[in-house]
Amino acid sequence: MSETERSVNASRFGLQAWVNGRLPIVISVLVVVVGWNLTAATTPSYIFPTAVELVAAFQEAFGPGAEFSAVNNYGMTLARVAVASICCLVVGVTAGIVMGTSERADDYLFVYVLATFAFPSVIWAFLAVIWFGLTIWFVAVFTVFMIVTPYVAISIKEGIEELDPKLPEMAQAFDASPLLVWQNIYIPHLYPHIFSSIRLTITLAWKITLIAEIFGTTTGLGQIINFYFQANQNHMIIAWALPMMLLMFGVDRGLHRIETERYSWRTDHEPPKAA
Amino acid sequence: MESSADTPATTGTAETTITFSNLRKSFSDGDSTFTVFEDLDFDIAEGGFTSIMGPSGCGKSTLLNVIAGLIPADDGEITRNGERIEPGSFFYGYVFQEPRLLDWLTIGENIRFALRAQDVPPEDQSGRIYRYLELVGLEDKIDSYPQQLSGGMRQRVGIARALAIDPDILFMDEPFSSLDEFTAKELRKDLLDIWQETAKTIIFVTHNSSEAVFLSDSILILDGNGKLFDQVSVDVPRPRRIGDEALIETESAMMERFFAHLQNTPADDEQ
Repeated sequence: MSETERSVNASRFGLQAWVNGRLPIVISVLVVVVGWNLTAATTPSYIFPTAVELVAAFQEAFGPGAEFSAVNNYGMTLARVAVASICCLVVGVTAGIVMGTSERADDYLFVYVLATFAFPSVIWAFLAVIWFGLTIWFVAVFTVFMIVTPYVAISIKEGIEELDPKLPEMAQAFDASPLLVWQNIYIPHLYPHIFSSIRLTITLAWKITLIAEIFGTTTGLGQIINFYFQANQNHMIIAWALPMMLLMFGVDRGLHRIETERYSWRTDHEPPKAA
Repeated sequence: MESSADTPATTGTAETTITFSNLRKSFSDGDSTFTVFEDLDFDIAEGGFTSIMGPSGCGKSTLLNVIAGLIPADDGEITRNGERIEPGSFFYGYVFQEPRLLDWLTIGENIRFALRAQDVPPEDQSGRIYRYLELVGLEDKIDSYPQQLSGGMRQRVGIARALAIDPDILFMDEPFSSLDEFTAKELRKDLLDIWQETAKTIIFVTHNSSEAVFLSDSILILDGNGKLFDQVSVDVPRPRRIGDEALIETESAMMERFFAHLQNTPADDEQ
């Protein structure tokens, strides 16, 4: 094999590797684009817009003379997601730690957790509207809180139960105080679980907030989507929803990246653990 | 080689003796009671290397934990030079069968954890961490994470952590049993060097008879029923060589007596 052949082969292998790595993503995107265009070509824009019509919809939504303020409405929705997420995480992590460390507390709290698991999201939203009326914060935050907190609690509780009991035993043999054990064993062990709970909470919170906003508020992305639904303008729904979807996708990827970098000691080099 | 359950362990370096009398430990599970051991009487020489040996499940580790005070004894008395002392009042460092390191902390910080647990002043901590890592030959791994080290290195860190708190007694619970034989051999030799250098009292649990003979001044042998069947003094001079005739002789005589004892007293099936 000549030098040129070799280098051609090498670059072909390089390209090959790149294509192999990216191919599934490229194909997935292509399928969506083709499917989108086929559907759009056979339906009017208010049912399913073409790419060109969607650009126009973006202009209509965010250009001058827009019907709703993007800053106010996205801002309101994001603020609700943030407040709800913080409430879920604070209460969920606390409940999870209590359940993971005290068997008696687990017996009591488990009933509540199971009961809330069985409750459909929409019912919470309706109940919240009946109980609290149309509010700025309460309906959205309450609905998210009731749905997401049990997931966080269970994830943290299971995280604590995964801890090798030999580590607290080791700490006991060195006479470590409970504070030291929490600082150096329980909390660091729980970091990855807390981190994945944060990701789960944000992902669920924004979807639920949107539903709650449709029923229980007068501002926010959910209200705008409801407005364009009533007006039968699908292209405007998509135009308003897409930026939020991209933002949430970005947040999730960003958190995922931090997570893998921060906890690289787990995956970096993992020989079998001692028996 | 002398051997008798009544002979106290004596070595050249030790002057003080810790005596354990009538130790008893049983666990009850509902209506049934399981006695791990009873009427245990033995001596440990301060500054000496004592092994507790016996088949798996004979209660060696339980005995170690009772001596450490991690598990309360049901009965028994501990005296030091004739003076009674409370169980659990030994100042000890513990080396476990597995390294039991915290994966999220560096090697240095793993040792700092033990130092903080023992309230060692912060200004003394870094010096001690370095000194004891140097002692086990891992000072260049101070910023590595446990998962980046081999099993043998991790066990060395476990030894450094136990020694760093500068305890009176070092308890070691089968610390080399999950290592491959080459690594274990190396660590045994190094452990003896470390012992000579630090002059600690070591109580070492093992089920490996050649390991016990190579390392120890004195070996307490438990049988399968938790009875102290033999206490063997190993008087072979140090430094010892692996494969030394005298060590092999001591070991085979010891094991011969042990198997003869097993044949005379079948395992108690009632337990």
